[in-house]
Amino acid sequence: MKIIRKELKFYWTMIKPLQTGLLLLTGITGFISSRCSVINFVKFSGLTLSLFLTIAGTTILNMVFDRDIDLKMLRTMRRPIPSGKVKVKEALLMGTIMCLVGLILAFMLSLLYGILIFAGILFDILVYTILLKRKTSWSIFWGGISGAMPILAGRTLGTGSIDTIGIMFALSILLWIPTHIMTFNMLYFNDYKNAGIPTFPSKYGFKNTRMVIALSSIGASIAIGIGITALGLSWGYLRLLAILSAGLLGLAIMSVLKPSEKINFGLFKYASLYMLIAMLLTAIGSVS
Amino acid sequence: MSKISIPDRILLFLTALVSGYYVINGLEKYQGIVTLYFTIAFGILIITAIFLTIFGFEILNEPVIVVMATFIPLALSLGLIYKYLQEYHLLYLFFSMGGLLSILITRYLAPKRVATLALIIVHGISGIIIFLLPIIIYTKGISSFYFLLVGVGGGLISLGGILLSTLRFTNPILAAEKINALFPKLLFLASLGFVIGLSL
Repeated sequence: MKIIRKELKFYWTMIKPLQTGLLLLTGITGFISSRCSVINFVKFSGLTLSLFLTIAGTTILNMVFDRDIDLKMLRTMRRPIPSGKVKVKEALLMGTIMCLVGLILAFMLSLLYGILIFAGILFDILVYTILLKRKTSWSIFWGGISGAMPILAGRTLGTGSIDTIGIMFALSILLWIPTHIMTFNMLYFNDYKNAGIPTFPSKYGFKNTRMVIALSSIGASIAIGIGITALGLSWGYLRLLAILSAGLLGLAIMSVLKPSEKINFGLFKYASLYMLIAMLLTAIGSVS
Repeated sequence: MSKISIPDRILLFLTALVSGYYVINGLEKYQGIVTLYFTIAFGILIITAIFLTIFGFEILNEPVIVVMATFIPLALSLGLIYKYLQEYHLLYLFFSMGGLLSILITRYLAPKRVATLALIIVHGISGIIIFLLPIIIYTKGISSFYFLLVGVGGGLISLGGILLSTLRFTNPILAAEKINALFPKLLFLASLGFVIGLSL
């Protein structure tokens, strides 16, 4: 029993619960935003389970393929695979099974939903992690596309087709992801350098990276604003989103004009909180 | 500067939550310009609570935050003036704009004492309006008893603003640690007072 609990603890850290949780929330929000007339327990559980399994499974597989990089970075060297707490084969098997079960579930729910989930896995593991991450700093764009898939897939499952609102929501996630990854790139600059991973700060400098973060944050808030407006949520929700967007814009400007590690990390935290609240607002506003 | 404790973080979260709820559900009943003023006031309350949680009390030293925080009492008092004393709105709007400009200019160009004085005057006058106006309105029988809570909130937020501004004096009214410990409580109680007072 103790061994199982220990293993579960390792796998819990390997699925990055906060990141997986936030992506899962985006997918559920996308579905709720569709105001699907046929929301039943089976469909909702299927969506949640398929999203959780594929997002968590993909994260585990990423850790398998990035284990050599993780070992070179102070921030990640204690992760279960590089530290030898979890065997590579075991993690590979677990990640693959989770992705496969999640995918089968997804295809059982809807063909289009399944295709989008499959595309998310493909972009993340093959295009981002295996093909591009070690070669170009622009790889995060492709990583961003995979991060945007859960919300698009969730909405598509509800509406039955890919629509403009879904694309706007997906775009907001795609634009939000640079804020997340590039802040880490700057905070752990030497780590990434030692591991030989090309990043925006190493290629274009900190100043330009801050500018990209600021612009992508603004872009993310515009995209989600358009999405929520098109969704027809009441003015109250739009007002609150406008307030939070103003805070994001202010921080983004501060990070460019008065750069510091604290402001950068603050922007990263605020952007994460912003996305979380935006998702909750969309979900609550859609059902109220 | 001291770190923000968990109970204070919870209070700041509740401040943002209560204010956010009011922004979503409470502003539809007002005229356009009052909605705008109250959106600014509650919006800055929300952002201040979030920024404090993320950055800690150090953020209160940033001149831009000091200027931003002035919008809370100013926007709220402007909304109240427009709703209940519309004939004085334009005059008070000019005072507000002048006050904001003076805070902005003195913060960057004048000695500390002058900057603090400008801040105290603007916070003080807007705070007095938020405190007294509900009392007058209530005694005239125009509003409910709960509207007095807006005045309490106004008093609390102005107290917070004035205490913070005295930190720049050589001998502040209270030690920085005490003011910091008090600030999240003041912010929460003020937002609660505003929301209950304006809703009921």
